Amino acid sequence: MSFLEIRSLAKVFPDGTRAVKGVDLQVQAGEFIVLLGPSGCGKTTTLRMIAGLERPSYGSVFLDGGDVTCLRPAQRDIGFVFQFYALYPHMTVRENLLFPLENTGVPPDQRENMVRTTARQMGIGSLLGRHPGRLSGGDQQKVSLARAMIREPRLWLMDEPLGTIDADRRIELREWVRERQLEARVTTLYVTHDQEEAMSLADRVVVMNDGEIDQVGSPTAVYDDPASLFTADFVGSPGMNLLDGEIRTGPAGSLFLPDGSHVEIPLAAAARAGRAVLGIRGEFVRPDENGPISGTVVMNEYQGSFRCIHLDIGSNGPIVMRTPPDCSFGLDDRVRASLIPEHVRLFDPGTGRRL
Amino acid sequence: MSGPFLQVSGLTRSFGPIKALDAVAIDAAHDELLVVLGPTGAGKTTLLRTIAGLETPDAGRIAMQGRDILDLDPAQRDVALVFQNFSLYPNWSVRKNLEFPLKAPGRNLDRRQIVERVAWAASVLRIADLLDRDVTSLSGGQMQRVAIGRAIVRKPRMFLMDEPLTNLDAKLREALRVELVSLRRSLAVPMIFVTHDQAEALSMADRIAVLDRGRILQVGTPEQVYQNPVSTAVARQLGQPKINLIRVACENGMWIVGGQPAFQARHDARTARIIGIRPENFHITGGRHPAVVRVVEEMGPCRILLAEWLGEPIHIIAPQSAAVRPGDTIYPDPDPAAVLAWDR
Repeated sequence: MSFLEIRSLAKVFPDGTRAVKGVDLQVQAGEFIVLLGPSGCGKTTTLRMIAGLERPSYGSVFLDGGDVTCLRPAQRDIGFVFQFYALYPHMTVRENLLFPLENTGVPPDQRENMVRTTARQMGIGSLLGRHPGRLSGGDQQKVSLARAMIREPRLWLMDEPLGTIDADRRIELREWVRERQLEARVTTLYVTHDQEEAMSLADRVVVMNDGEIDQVGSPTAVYDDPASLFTADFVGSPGMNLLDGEIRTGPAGSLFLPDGSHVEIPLAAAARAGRAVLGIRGEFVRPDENGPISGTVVMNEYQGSFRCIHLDIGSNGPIVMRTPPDCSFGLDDRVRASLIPEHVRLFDPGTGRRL
Repeated sequence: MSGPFLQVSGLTRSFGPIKALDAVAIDAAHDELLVVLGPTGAGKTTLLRTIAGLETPDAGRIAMQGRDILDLDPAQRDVALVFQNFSLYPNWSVRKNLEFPLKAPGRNLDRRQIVERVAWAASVLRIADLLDRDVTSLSGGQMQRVAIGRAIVRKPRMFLMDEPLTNLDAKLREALRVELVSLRRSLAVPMIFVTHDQAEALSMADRIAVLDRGRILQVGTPEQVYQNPVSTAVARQLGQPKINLIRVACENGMWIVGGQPAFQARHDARTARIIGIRPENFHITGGRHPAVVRVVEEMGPCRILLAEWLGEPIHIIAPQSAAVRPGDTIYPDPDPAAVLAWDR
């Protein structure tokens, strides 16, 4: 049995809303799992059921071999990290960090040691004697996170802990959360709607949509091999290029014909003829004088280390091509491009799943 | 017409001891999207409000099409301001919200013209099917479309946008920034767009003005400010993850970092005391000094490494194909041509 197992977990709220519709998940000890999805997808409700803050309508939660479904939160040995942590203003940083260690099994003489070690690892060692009111906003946030993560329980459950942080500081703080987790190896479930945060933190990402798990996989897997149109679009910035069209199969192999154009895109492997959606990441669309795709540049988004060139190719929405920053296409230029065949993904337009 | 459309010079505004604007000088061309980029408190909103006529400056000049406008009230300036928090009339329909600016005193549009203008704005912003909905029933993205519709419907001389995409979720923000750029281009009306989001600034701007603590630090195309920032303050405002800034000395043609020769110095920058290396300008092999990887972050097309190098934490953008894990040792090799250097 895995360290954490969730079986057929479901939640129906009194008003009839089916927030979570039967979720199964197995988590190994020490893993960092991110539950990712848009608001209303059921990710927070799932986390709250694991925490014991919400009673499941159906299903069970096993932690470290034991059924904890009916245990109160305090009996589960779980640490929560929320978006807002109030620090005690009358206590020093040291006292704020000591606080969560009271009433734990940690002997008093070891607590000071833990505070110093954690503070040093988290880069706030020099702040221990200060009061929170004297700290910058970013340092306060670090102290708050340190206070939440000083104890090493069986599980850390985090609900958008960086949600209110400036974009500017977010990278720093998420790296800091990850480094602390790698060091403590506490099994972690982290909820976010931010796909970049999910990709950057997770060992495995659990993509949720409409109360169900859409896909579970490594960040690379959900990005490269999305199981559905939903994940293909939701993961990545921008999401995957998706073209409606039709697959035709002949003696020379299979071709994809996007709707409303006279383009024929060769496919790497034989595929069954019929309606399909072709998906391709922007970095696998390459400028190519002999490429089958021809479009007009309608937008050139410079991003410093790369560019996104938007090509209008007719009735399908523009194709976004990710290029090096020195690419010199201008607005209204006609550009020919090809798709790298082994990176083409095909989806069933009816079910939205991969073909 | 000669000269820029908008000319701002010496614009100063204090609130008590704080100089929100300190001798700000910028201009915007007739068909230009100028992004003002700066952190919270930089003075961005005060600048927009002063141009719109909602604030009076302590000193300075604002001219539009060559004419001084400081003595004009906001309505006479004929600029449209769009805010972060939508600012629509709740419990009014979308149509009524769009009609409102056209019914202002002095507009003198007849009923038919108003209907035509509203239909035009609604079709441009693809909200025609929402016209009879109550605005409070709309999603955030729909509301911001209506707010933009309300700005374009009266065909102002200029658009002023105060972080209009900030409250929207990431996917919508990406889509709307593309739409806004094409919309402005098709209307050929100048726009000043204020944001703290460097990705928005780089991707949308014709030119970026970097503002910090009331002062303009640099004005240039996105490529200029990203590739040739005039100061470390500008360099830090652009790029994600942030540029790696490292204190150096130069000896015998080598940069000295933390007391040891690190790598070949740029021969034209030997007096530099601080260098900047963008995360994408490293190879992860071939360098002289080892670095221990602390964190690896998947980004899709690439991965971000946080590593300890010459006693400094640095960020490196590595290709997705780079098989690197926390704890691994790499040998970062900066691209010498891409190293930026400043004397302080």
